Amino acid sequence: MKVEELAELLDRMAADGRRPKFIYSVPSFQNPAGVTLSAERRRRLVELARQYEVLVLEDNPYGLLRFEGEPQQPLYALDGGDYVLYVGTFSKILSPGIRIGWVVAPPPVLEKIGLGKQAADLCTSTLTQYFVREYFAEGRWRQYIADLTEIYRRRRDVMLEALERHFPASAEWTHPEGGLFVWATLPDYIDTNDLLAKALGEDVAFVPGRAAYVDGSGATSMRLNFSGSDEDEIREGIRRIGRVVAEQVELYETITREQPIIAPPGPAADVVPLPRKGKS
Amino acid sequence: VKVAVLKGGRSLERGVSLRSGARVEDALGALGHEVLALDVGAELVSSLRDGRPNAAFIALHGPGGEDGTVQELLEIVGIPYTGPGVAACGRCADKVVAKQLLRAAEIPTPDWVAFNAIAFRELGAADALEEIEQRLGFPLVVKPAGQGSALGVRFAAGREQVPDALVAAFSYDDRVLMEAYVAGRELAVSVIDGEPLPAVEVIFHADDTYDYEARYEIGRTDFACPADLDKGQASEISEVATQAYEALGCAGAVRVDLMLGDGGPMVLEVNAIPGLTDTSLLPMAAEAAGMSFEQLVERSVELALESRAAATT
Repeated sequence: MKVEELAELLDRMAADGRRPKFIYSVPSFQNPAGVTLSAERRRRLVELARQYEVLVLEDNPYGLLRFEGEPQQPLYALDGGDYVLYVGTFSKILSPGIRIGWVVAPPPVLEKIGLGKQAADLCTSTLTQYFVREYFAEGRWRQYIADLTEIYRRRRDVMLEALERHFPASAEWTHPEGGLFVWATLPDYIDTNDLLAKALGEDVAFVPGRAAYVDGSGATSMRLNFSGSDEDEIREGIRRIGRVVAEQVELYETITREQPIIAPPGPAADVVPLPRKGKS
Repeated sequence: VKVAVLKGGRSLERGVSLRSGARVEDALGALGHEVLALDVGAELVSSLRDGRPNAAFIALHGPGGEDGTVQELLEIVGIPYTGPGVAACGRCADKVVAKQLLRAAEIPTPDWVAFNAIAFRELGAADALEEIEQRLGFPLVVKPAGQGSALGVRFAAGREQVPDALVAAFSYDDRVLMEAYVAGRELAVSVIDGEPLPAVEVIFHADDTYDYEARYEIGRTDFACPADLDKGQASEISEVATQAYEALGCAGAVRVDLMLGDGGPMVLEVNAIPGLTDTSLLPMAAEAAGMSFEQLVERSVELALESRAAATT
């Protein structure tokens, strides 16, 4: 989050007599870009919350999945719990299917959240809550997260390496220090919604960037998830996406005559057959 | 009657197809038919052989379902199906072939030029772009030849937008067409067994009518059915739509998309398997003609069974 722009936005809203309900932030390894809010911006965000008396909802599903660098202090710790509500989940550190998380918030806010949750799902299953309690009481969870983090770190490395190798020089991407996602941006004449149609023909998928914006921008970007596929699949998947991108780059260059006409590439000889996955 | 509803599949229009299919299943159930719902995939032929339906209702969209592929399989398995036959589906699904046939039948369609990617990659088609742009004028429309709905369709308001539009269209097909833009009213005429239904007009609120994707956002599009046309216009449009239906050799219920500009109606394309969701144009037109959704489904199945009976006698 560009906290400088947030300050301007809050000023403008105050001038219009509008009051935001709260500010939502995923400060660590954010979905979709995998980026992390710096210590300086974190401090500034908490200051702004105080200054404008606006609640901040800190959503931290990925914070424990750090591969490198120093952990950042949660906004909640910086603020002391006056304006920041903290939300955690067991989805990314135990199992997504367990559907249990936790909230740290001032009692009046907690009371309202409780009411809302009751209305939404008639409360979380006590049975699964017991499972989670037992699991954490047993004490092996730190080792499990360490193992998980190591798996994800290797997968991230494989993805970054594959991007370096298969994506055009004009493409850019993030280098996440943790979490599950890389955010890549392609030359501005490529629309990732259209690119996805081509990629699906190669049995590989990504999330087109527009899905992450409310104003229709993000058309040249894509979210790549490195958590759900193994290292070979990631290598092959990025190779295939790289190939369809290269085809579009080459086509664009021939249409705009930026490049002389070249012989078409020969048939790809080194296709690794992969089974189509049910989920994408 | 036992009717297999073919829906889903791997097409990019899977979502629409599933919605169409679910509605058709409900209607068939309400009509007292036995329903065999099939999300099409590798098991299709064996499911049809095992299920032995009397007819297949095709609620598929996009490549595979709309281009004659599934129709060919149904012919082989010997199950009558709704909509046009193999050859007609192939003609409708390829916008370039459809336009060539329309032109040959002297049915007005906007001027166009079609290319495949090889023309650019190997044959220097880029050097011909200037002449094409002069001939078609701006704005022009760039479309993939074989993709349904608005996927990959772009307006190019000026020269600088042409390369991006071509790259987008080539994402969906190896062949694309550049088509002259016809300013005017956008109309859809559904034709059932050679009989036109009332025209539906599609009205866009967005200022940027050049943004095809924006047109599909809720609240930015309105429909008028029947379209507000004078008698002469209405009959001319129905006539042209029916001619297009005949020229492409259609059967069953199809939808003809037209533009009504200063020069009269022009046919853009013919959809062999029109959408049947609760916001689709064919059911809307049927309703305006006093035909409920159930009646529309029943009629489609009847036509499928009749065509089979005609073929075997």
